[in-house]
Amino acid sequence: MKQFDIAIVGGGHAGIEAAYIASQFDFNIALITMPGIPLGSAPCNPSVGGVGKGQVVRELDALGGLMGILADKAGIQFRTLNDSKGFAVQSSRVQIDKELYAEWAEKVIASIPNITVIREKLVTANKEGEDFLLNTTERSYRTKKLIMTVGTFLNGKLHTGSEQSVGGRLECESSGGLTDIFGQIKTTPARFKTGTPPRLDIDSIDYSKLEEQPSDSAVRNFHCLHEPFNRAAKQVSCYLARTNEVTMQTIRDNKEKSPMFNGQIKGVGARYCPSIEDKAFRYPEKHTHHVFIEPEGLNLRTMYPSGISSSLPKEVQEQFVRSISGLENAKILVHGYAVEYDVVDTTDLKITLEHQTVPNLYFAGQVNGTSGYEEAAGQGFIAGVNAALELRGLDSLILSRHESYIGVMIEDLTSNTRDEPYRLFTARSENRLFIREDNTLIRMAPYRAQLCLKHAIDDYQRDFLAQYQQLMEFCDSQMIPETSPVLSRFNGSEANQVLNRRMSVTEVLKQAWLNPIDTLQEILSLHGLNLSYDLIRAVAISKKYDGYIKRSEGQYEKVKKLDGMKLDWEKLVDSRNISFECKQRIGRIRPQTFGQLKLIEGIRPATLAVVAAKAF
Amino acid sequence: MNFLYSDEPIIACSTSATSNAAMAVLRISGFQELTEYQNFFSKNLSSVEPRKVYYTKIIYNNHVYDDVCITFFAGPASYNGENTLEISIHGNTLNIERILKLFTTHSNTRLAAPGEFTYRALKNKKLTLAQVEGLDLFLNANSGYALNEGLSLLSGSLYDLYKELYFLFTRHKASLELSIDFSEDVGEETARQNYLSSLEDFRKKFKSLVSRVAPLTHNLLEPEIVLAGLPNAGKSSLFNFLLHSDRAIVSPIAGTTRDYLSETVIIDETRYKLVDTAGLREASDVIEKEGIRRTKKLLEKSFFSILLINPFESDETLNDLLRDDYDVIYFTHADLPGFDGARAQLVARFSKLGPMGAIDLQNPGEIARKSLNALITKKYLDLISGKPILFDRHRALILQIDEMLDNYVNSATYEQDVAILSHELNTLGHCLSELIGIISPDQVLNSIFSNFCIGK
Repeated sequence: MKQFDIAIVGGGHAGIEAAYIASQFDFNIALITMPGIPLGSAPCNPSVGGVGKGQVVRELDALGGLMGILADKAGIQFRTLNDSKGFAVQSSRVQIDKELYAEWAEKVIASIPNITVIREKLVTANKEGEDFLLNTTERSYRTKKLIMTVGTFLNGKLHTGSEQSVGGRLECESSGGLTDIFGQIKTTPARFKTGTPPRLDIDSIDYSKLEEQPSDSAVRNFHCLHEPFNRAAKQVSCYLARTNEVTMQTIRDNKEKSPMFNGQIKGVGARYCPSIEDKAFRYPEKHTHHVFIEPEGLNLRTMYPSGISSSLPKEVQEQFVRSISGLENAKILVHGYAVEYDVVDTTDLKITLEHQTVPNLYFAGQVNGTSGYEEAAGQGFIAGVNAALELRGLDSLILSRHESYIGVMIEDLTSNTRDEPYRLFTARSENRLFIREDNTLIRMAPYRAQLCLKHAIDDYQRDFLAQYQQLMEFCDSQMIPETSPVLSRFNGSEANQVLNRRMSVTEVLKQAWLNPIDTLQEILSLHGLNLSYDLIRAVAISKKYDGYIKRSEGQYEKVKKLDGMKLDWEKLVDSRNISFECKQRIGRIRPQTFGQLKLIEGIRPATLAVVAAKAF
Repeated sequence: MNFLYSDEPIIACSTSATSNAAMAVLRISGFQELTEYQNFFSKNLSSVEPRKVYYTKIIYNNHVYDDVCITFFAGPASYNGENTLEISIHGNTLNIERILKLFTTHSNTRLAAPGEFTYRALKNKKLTLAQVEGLDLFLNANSGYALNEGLSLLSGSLYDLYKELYFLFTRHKASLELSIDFSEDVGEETARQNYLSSLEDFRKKFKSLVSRVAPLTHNLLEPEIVLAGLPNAGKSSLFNFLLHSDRAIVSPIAGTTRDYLSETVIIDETRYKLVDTAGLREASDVIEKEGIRRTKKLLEKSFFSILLINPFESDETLNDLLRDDYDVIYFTHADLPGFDGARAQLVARFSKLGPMGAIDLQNPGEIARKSLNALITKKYLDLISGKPILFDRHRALILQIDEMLDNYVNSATYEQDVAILSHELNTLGHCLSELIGIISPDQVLNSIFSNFCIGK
């Protein structure tokens, strides 16, 4: 029987990320995945990144993850979202060629000698001593660590109109039969649901009626070692269409045929990723919704209409799609459907994503109730790296929520029972001005260093960090005299936007009317310095936000101090002054600090007041 | 603040125990079972039902202490959410002392710290922080207005207003988040409209609150009526006249009242602190100089100030007292011959300082009292007509938030950097939650309970 150090079940975005990082520790790794599905396949939207999610992809990349590399290889349209809203909330998103993405995932994983890809369906998983014994339809395996990244395959059920079938996604089997292990695992009381829109024939759309959105050549590639702006694949456009009154009325008229609204689907969907039925019934006064028409691949015949995911019967889908301007003759190649599935109660997981009562078992990805490839990948990384670190006898990797979106997500997940799919967005972070894309390397390098690995990106990061420090110091110490012609170059157009005193480069960068990146670039070139774009961008934007971040640090000090306060949850559970319901939650989540306690949903202010006053 | 850390049963006399009265009410709360106190009562406590009054004796070691009535309130349906026993005893102060001692010596019950019953009510979510503050105000109110204000906090209506504000704030905050995280879904223009309209709603509501905090230089919780004037101008006489007593030592020798005296006086259902300032004389006298300084200070924070001038004895030192905002100026000694002439010489000099009148302090009469009382009451009613918020903590926070909000609106960089805008708004949100009492509870609790009068 083959023996592995770490076995990962599921070859989706969480699974390949877990395998990729764990393999860097030279362990013997099994990646068990359903036969017939390529690694890293994208069953829903053909894009990677997005607001908040772009940061996750870059964080993963800086930590030594896989997603950024694959997205660059398969990227066919790049965009910066929130371009006009300030650097802190700008995020990259790339449309991917689904075929290319999966091809590259297969290629990269296959090239790693210590990963064995096993294309068999897992039937049972039993705990045997410290190890797990895995039985697939073909043979048996033994592993020390088991990471479950099974996505929507846990009791998955598909719906299109009244048609129902069992499965995790279209034309795939569902994995049941894991009850031996899952018998011990608590799932959330509610089932979750997610959906996907119908796919349209690329040649059946009238693009002249749609708004074209070309690829933006100024978006930096995700992988830090890739040339910043060279694209690996041919670039294409996306298109914007809009729903109208007829579209929405068609949907409203067919309410009783919608599995979501006629009671056929019991699962809870994400409010942040609503189906078109949700939009129709939740905002009855609104008729115009955006529909982004996105190519699924350079050689694929399908277009993905983002924003109209639906589980209505096929003929209704056809009817409402064709009411949209530009889609009058659209041919649906694959109909939309909804999928319902079970999710694990993530409050039973540690912050390393290891199960609290079943040691050596980890859960990551959509099975934890999240939505999105990026969220899945982030968790896959955390589970994979921590499984490996523990086998190595090293400290766990725990990303602070104040320094990363992955940290925000993991802490949110493990401190709350989900009652709807979890999607990451920037509002979930308290430290948005700091958790930016431009400074990802600065934020993540110390964490990557903690892994004690020696790869190409480790050398790169060390150098980058050193240069960053130097340039930061340069900006502070380099003074520009008031008489210098350099200074007057940066005067603004308004009367009060005149720089007429001696000031440091840092001060110049902080002027509200200046683009700090262009400004720093110009100053450096006047000094004859030619530095990398990444470096200039990171320093310029850091300087721009420096004041705000420092000021808020002062203002939040008392909050922060309180958040860091250690507490004894067992004592809280015994306390007579906390309501039963709060105590139950505290007992389940076992918060170690006041900050964690505060995050628990349903903890009432009065309880916080008691705890804060008592200083347990 | 030790009591914040311990939750043993506590006992206290909940009625005033400073003088003998017919009855007093002791309250014990925080015990597990009523029967823990069986040793102290003749009645079988296991048969006592909540919210019913029972007649029994307090007996310990065969010694009868008092005939009492007891009422049991089972938690959480009690004032502070804990099991509570109220004992009505006879109100002799010695009796109260003796029975309190009996319980604290022979059971695990300890004396409650000031405000502790209420603190537990807060802890057990029977009261919100604003309600606790309202209770404090209610129990210590000096006027019908303060009483009502306390009641409105206590009943939660001001708290409800705060909550509504918080809701509007959250909606505005959400509009920013919408613009950042979901602008692709909702569209740029919708996001912008949302931002503008939610900001306007929040601002309007908040400004209505600000108007209730508007200039209030004097403390309406304990309004002071200050009498100023040169020595022998008649301050002490007026003081006594207003008090109907001889509290101040009235003598014809100038400078008898070196420091100031104060007494409580109730005018039209409002309680004022009546203050007689130091007499002042030669500036060469060090103590008198200090007196002038104190007088000025008292005048500055006074609610109602009265200047008394003896037209026969005015000299240059009167200049020390010149202020332009006296509520009334009285020329005294109107009974003496030559008063009109003497006054006529001075009127021009003081006409700008405030409304003037004449008074015969030897024989002032009820009309003078009524007209003075009317002036005082009118001013009080004018001030409370804007429904001012009396709590310093609330006032300070509201003003702070107001300033932040103005900065926020003026620096509106929606077009430039929404992230910074949202960041600034977070800071504002912290102050707002402090107003409602959901953050930095340690500090707020400390400050409230450290000056909480014994109350309930």
